[in-house]
Amino acid sequence: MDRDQRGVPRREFLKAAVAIGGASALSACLGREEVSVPSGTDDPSSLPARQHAWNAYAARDDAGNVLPPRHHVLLHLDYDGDPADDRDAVETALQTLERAYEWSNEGLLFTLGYTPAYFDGLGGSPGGVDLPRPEALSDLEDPTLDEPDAVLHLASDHAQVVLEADEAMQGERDTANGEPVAAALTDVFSVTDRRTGFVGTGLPADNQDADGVPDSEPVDEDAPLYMGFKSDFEASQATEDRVTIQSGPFAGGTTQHVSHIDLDLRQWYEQDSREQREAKMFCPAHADEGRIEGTGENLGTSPELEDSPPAEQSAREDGIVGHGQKLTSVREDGRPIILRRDFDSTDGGRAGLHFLALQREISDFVTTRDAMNADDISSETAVGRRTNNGIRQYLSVTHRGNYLLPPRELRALPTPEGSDA
Amino acid sequence: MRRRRFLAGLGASGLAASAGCLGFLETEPANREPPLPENRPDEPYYPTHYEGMEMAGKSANGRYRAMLSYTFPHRFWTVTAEETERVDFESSEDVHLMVSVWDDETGVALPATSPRIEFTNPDGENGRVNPWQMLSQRMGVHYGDNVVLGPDGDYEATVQLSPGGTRRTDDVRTPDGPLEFSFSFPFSRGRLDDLEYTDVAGDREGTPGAVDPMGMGAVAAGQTPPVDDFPLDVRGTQTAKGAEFVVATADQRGSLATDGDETYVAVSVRSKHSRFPLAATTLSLDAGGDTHQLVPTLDADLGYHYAAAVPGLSEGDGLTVRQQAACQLSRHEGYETAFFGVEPMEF
Repeated sequence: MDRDQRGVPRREFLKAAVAIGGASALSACLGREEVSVPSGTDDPSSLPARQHAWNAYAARDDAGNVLPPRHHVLLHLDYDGDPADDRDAVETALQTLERAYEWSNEGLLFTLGYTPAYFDGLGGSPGGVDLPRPEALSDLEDPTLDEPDAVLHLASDHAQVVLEADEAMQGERDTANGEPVAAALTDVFSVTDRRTGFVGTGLPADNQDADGVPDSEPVDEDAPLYMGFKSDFEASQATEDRVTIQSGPFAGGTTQHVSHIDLDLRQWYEQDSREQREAKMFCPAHADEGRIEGTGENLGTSPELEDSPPAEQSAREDGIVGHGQKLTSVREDGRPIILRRDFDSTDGGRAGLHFLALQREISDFVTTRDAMNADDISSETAVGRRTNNGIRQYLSVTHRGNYLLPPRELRALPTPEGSDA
Repeated sequence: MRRRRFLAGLGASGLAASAGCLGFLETEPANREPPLPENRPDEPYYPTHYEGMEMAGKSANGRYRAMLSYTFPHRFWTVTAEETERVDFESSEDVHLMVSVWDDETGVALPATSPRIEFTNPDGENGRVNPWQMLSQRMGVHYGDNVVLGPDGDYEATVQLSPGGTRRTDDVRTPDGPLEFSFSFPFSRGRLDDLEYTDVAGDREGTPGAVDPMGMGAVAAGQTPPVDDFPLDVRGTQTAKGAEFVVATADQRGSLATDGDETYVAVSVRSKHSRFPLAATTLSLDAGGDTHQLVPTLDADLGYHYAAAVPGLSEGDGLTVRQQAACQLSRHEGYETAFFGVEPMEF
C-alpha cells in the first residue's frame, strides 16, 4: 500500500496511520497516543504453547465476549533459503517482539503462519494437517489466490504497537518499546504485501470515507464493524481448543484462512431498511420480533438463533434467510467450528473485510462457507445466490489464502515433518 | 415527448403525497418522478410513465450473451417475504444500470446469474455494483440498480456473472466460476435526457394492465411461451394477483424425470400480460399424496419454469400448486403490488 502521506491532512493521516505505515506514520502516532505499553518477557517458556492463544489475554466486553484487538497488520513474506540456516534468526526476531510487548491486547498478539506453497518448496506438505492450496469457494467468485510463503499477523489495541512491531520486523527500527531489536524478519524474508485493518467501536465510523460506503456517513459510532452489527458473540465463536490440531507433529497449532472481501454498503445502508438489515444479518424472525437493539449488544453473549426456524424453512416459506441463521447448521455442541478474528479494512481505498478464521482443518472452513453459500437453498427456493441470501448481496471475495499456524515451538521455518531437518 | 420538457412542466405536483391502496402514506421525495397512482391494484398496473433505454453494448463469452444498458434512475421496490421496501433514487445517481443475460444457443434468457459490474469512468475512477435481481414491464427479468457513473465521456465496464445458478433440462455443463464480459461505451447526460419519455394518460395509470415490453431480442428471450403454444400437455391455467400459472406435464424432459413411472410436471409462473417468468418464487406441488418441491429449471422451449419429477402420477390425479413464498424479485413501478398472497391452486 502507498506509504506516501504527502498531501494528506494531519487528522486524516493519523486516522489512517496503520494503513499508511512506515516511520512517519509511526512517529505521528507516537506523538498523538500517549500510552504506556506494557513490556514483555525474557522467558519464552512463560508464554502459551499455542501461537493462537489470544483469548485469555484479550479484553472482554460487559457481557463477557472476547473483544478482538483493535488494530491489525498482515505482512506477506516470501522465503528463499535453507531453513536450518535461518531458523535462529527468525526465532530471535519473534522473541524480540515478545520481549518488547506484553502478550495481550494492550501489548501485542501475533502469529506467524506458513502456506502450502512454503511446504511444497521444502518437498512436502505439513504432517497430519489438512492444508490444501487456496481455491474459489463459490461459483460467484474468482479470487486472487494468496500464496506467499508466510504471513505475519500483528494485532494490538494500540495503532503505534502494530506500526512499531511492523517497522521492527522490517528492519526499520533499532528499538521496539524501548527494547533493542536483535533481528528482523526481513533478515531472511522479503515482504511481498502489507494489509491492514481495524475492528471495534468507533473505528469503522472513523474510517467510513472509503469507496463502498455511501457519502451519507451511515456507519454508527457504536458499530464495531462496517455493517453495523456486533458479530463476536461468545456463542458465535469456536473455542481455541476446538480449532487446535490434536495430533501429529503440528499438534497445538491451527490452520488459518484469510480472505479479503469487498463491501458494497450503499445498498445495505441506503436501499435496505433497518428491518431488512436485521433479517439478513441475523434471521427474519429476529427482525419481526424487534429483538436486536443498536449493534446487537442487548443479545449478550449469544445471537440466540437456536430457536429460529431452520434456514431451509425460512427460505421456503418467506423467501429470505439470515446470515447467522444459515450458519446454525454448522455447529458442534452448540458452537461454530471456526474461530473468527476478522477485521475491516480500507486497503486500496475501499471498504473491505479481512476475513481471518482459525479452524482445526481447512475443510471446517469450507463446510462453514458452504453453509453461508446455501446452494442447496438457492437452487430450490425463492432465495437466490445473492437475492435475500443473508448478506451475500453486499460481499465480493477478492483474495483467499490458507496457512498453518504451527505451535510456538515450531513457528520458525518449520519443515513438513515438523522438526528440525 | 422528451423527458426534459415533461419534467419542466411537472412543477409542484411532483412533490405531493398520495395514499396508495395498500393503506399507507408514501411521501413523494423531491425527485424527478411523478407521484404514484392512487389505489394501485394488487396486480400489475399501468405505471405513471415509462422511458427509453440506451444500450451500452452486447458482449459474448462462449454460448452466453450479456447486454449492458441504462436509462434514467428510477424508484423501485425491494422485496423481503411479503413486504416491499421502496427505494427512491438519490440526486447523485446518474443512471439505472442494467444487465440482461441469455444463452444464445437455446435463445433463452437466464434470470439468475448474479452479476457484478465494475466500471472505470473518464476520470479513471472505478465503480462497482452487485445489481439487484429485478422485474420491469419494459425489460422483464434483469439485474439493475441506480448508480453514480461520473462525467460525460468514454467508459469501460466488465461484468462478471455466473450462469450456473439454475438447473437445466439439457446436459450443458455450466462453468464453476464467473464468466467475464467486457464493454466500452460513451455516456453523456445529453443523450440520456434525449431518451424517449412516455407519460401514461391519467385515466389509465394505476389501472390493471402493463405497458408493452421492449421489442428486442434480450427481452423477448425472457418471455415464456403462451398457453396456446405451450410445448407440453397443459393440465390447466389459473391466474391470481396478476400471476398466470400454467401447469403442464410430459413423460420426461431432457435429462429429468427419466424413470419409467415418473411424470415431468412443469409449472410456468409468469406475469399475466407479458409472460415474464416470476423467478425467485418458492412453489410446491401436492400430487398423489406427496408434496414435491418445484425446482427452478431452464429449458430451451419452456424457458424459466418450476418443475418436479412425480412418480406414479395418473392422468386424472389432481395437482395442487402452492406458492410458499411470493416472487422476491425487486420490482419496478407497476409490479410492486402484484403476485403476493396467492392461495393454493387446484388443477
